[in-house]
Amino acid sequence: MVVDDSKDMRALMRVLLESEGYEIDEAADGRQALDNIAKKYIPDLIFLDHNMPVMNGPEFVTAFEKEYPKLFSQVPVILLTGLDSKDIVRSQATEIVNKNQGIQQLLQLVAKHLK
Amino acid sequence: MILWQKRAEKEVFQKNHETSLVLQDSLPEYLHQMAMALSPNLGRSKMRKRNDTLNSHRIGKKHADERSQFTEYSIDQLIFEFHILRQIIFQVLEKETEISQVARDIILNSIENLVNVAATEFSESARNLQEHLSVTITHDLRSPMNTAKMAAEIIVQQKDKPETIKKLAYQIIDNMGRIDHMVQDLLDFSRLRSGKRLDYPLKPFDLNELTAEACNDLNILYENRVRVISKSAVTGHWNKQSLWRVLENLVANAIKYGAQDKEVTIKLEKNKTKAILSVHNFGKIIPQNQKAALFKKYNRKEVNSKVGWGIGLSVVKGIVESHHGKIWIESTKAKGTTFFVELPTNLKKHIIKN
Repeated sequence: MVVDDSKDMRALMRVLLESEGYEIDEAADGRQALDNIAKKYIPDLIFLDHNMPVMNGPEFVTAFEKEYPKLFSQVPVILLTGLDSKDIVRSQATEIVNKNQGIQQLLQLVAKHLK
Repeated sequence: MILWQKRAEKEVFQKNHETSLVLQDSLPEYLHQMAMALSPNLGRSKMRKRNDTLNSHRIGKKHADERSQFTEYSIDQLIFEFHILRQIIFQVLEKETEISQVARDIILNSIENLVNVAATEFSESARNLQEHLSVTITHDLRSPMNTAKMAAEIIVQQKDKPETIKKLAYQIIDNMGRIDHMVQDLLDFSRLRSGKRLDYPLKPFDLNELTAEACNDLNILYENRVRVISKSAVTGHWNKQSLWRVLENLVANAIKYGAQDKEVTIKLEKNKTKAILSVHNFGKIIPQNQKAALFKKYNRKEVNSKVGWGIGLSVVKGIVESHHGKIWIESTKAKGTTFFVELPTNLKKHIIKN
């Protein structure tokens, strides 16, 4: 699942991941992501943007852990942040990563966490 | 004492008016303070002294803060204005009466305090503004830049998929356009801040072209939430690129601050001499006392906004005024919020022929 308030970014991730054979679902913010999960769409991995309206990345992680503790331990959550915040973000996300590293790094992350 | 105060207020204010813009608003308050300080009936107790100092601080702070946001006033200008104020106060007082050494000291101390506080506040405000601007610039510019970069990387990776590549290329073009507009906004903001007018080449066209194109583009970004209402051709001489940015800014605000489940409406109307463009949204209203502040050169509230930075509306106002037009807001719970832009249609005479 790709959670990002930028429609452009979601579209790009879709093209990128689908061309690698992955199926993706989208959410525009943390709340929508939680709604998706409630509707029984359980992702194998979550790409999460940091800044989003309604419910941002870190807030989603907290809520996700609280509402679905079992799922939280099974589903890797990758929090994507801008260059400056990577070192100061505190979150229980599986990994906190700079979102501008390039698509190869993003694909490697997916491969790594989807064993 | 009251008589003196009233007279001093009037005279000082009048004289001050010609030379200084800084202290105008709180001059009455300040003079009242000073009158109280000089009143022979009140003992200058410690409490009193401290209270007066605090009040001086407050007044000095308020001004410098406002001032630094308007134009690139320098500190020496600010200090110069206080200097003039001091001279005027003494001039006015000396006409009335002999000023005792004690009274003189009180006045001088008071002004000195005011200058110190104002100067400190001024530098700090200016510094804050710089910092906020650079943070929002790097953040807001980075976003479309990285989207475009990522789209380009994916193009490189795509083989034999011309349709996908085309879509990705459009995303790049789109995001570059957004960066271009932000840079242009920033340049305009800079010009406006140094007190200059914006100056754009005017060409004849129908505003309907503008609203239709804008609506198309914006609907891609905002998922079809924007619609246009227009009944007739509205032709005149304007600058399309800058008016595009006006629409872009107003619609972005309407989307961001308006009801998320209702549409945003762009309306185009005209009368004999003017074209009226308006952007409407439902949702949270703008209180009367906040309207003017929105157009100020730097609206702090919008600093962390993801949609553009805090300079948007001040640039919008600058562009509208460079077209010799007017912009205003109507906002009620019943009708929602509408930003109105009125532009003269007959600007042809302003076009300088080379």
